[in-house]
Amino acid sequence: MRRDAAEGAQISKEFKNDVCILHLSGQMREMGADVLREELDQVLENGDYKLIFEMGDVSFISSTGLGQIMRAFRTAGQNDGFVRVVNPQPLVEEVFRATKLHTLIGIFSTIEDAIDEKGRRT
Amino acid sequence: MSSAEHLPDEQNPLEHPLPSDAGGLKREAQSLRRQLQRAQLRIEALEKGLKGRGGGAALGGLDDEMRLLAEQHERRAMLLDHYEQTARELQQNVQPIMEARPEGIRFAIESRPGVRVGGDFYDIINLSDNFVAFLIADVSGYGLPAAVIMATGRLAFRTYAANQLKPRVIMEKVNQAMLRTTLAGHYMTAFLGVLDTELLNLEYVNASHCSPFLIRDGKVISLDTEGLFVGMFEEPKYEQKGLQMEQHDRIFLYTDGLLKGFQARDQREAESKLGQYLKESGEQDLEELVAQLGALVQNPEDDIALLGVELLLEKARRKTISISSIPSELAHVESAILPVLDNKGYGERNIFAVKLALEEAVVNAIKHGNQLDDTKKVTISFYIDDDRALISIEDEGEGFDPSAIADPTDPENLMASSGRGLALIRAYMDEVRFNEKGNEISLVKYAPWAVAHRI
Repeated sequence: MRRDAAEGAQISKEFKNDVCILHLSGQMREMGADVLREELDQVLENGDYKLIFEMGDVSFISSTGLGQIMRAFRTAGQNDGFVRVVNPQPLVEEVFRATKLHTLIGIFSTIEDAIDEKGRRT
Repeated sequence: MSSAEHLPDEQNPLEHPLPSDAGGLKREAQSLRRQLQRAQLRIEALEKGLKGRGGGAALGGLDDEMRLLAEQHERRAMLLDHYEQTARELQQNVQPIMEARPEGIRFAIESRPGVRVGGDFYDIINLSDNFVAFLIADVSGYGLPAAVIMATGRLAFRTYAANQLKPRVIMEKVNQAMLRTTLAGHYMTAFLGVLDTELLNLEYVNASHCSPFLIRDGKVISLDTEGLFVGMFEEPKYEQKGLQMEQHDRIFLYTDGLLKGFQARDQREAESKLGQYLKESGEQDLEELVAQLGALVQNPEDDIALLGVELLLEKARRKTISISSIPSELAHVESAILPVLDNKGYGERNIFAVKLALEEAVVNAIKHGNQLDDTKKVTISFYIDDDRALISIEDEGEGFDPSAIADPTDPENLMASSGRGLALIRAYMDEVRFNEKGNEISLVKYAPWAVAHRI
């Protein structure tokens, strides 16, 4: 399905114990990036540093989207937290690999695996 | 005629011929029930608004709506006496006047008024960057209400086509506008096409209208998509399809009044006869053919509208689009480029790659090249054939030295929030070049089959 450039990401949030899971859908790109930026500002201000990005419904990501994830990754890392990515679509996962970010950020198949840090994709 | 027949038909629904089959009756009953519910909700909202009047600015939207409704009713009351003539005048006056016809494309139009004034209309709208929109629509019902809705509908198409190249999005916006403003219970069917008059790429949406016919080399192709009526549902899903047009292609759009000109058991058979007729008239002059078709029905009960489109020119080799330095303008660039790749079968993977490289290059040009100065332009020129897509992006900035950009995949730079744009472009494109000044980047992406050949 084609999407409009103006369509950014939609986000919903849930907690499993102290792990904050962000369910993302749509596109993580320059257009509409404010939605993700503001959500991450709030999450990080709240002191939630154990973050999982569930990305099964994300159809597109650009360097702007990667930049947001890296910002969260740095802040989380400085506060004994983590950022992990779950179930990205193949074309989206390739963007992580093309930039070698998969060497920093663990990519997992399920939320449970991500919480337990097992089955990290290499 | 009895006096009852002079009432606008929405005041006398029994005057509509009833559908002959059970399915049709059920559908109409359902739709009427929905209209009734909507009208009820509207009345409640208006009453609430009335009670709270003087309550302040919060009611601004509702006040506007009430004013609009009041104006509509006032207008209708004024026109009621001679609504038949007025409807006719209205209908004739909203038919299009082409300001400047795009070169290389012929349009032939024909409209014949029926015994009862219907709500058929068509339009041809010049958009930016050598795109042209053409549409045909048929409003439900007859008489003044239909004519008023036709005028509203045409204005809505004109308004929303001005800033948008995607027919699906235009149709959604027109639907929203019609839902909010039309007299209860009226809707329309519509076909909308947006044609790139340089690259000859056509994108179209059919909202339950009779499928137009494309005639190419003696073959008949019907242009249909999934999509419900306009002005009836909150969130109708409109499917958009696209195709690469060729020199000498013809498209015929029409309203169902024309089908009466063909002896047939049902609509399907009449459509097929019309298709056959068009196929056999391939050599005939477009305007003659359209006029001849329009004259097929003697004393039409219903209005008949017909729009013929013919491509005279071959497609251009290259197309150029200029945008302001505002990131949201990227949508416009994507609408011009990505559908062309899709129609040529470049595939999801390559389209993703081009979309990504395009975003990185255009955002770089806007932010770093033009420093977000919205008086400066970014110029995108592209050429797409069956083997490759060439895209170049130029800004009005000082230029930069690409070799001075640090490698973001270097472990030292891996943590950075930015600086990945150029690396992504290089990873996803087959060739990347810069001009000497460094303010223009050229990208090449090969079609999947062309890559196989090259290896």
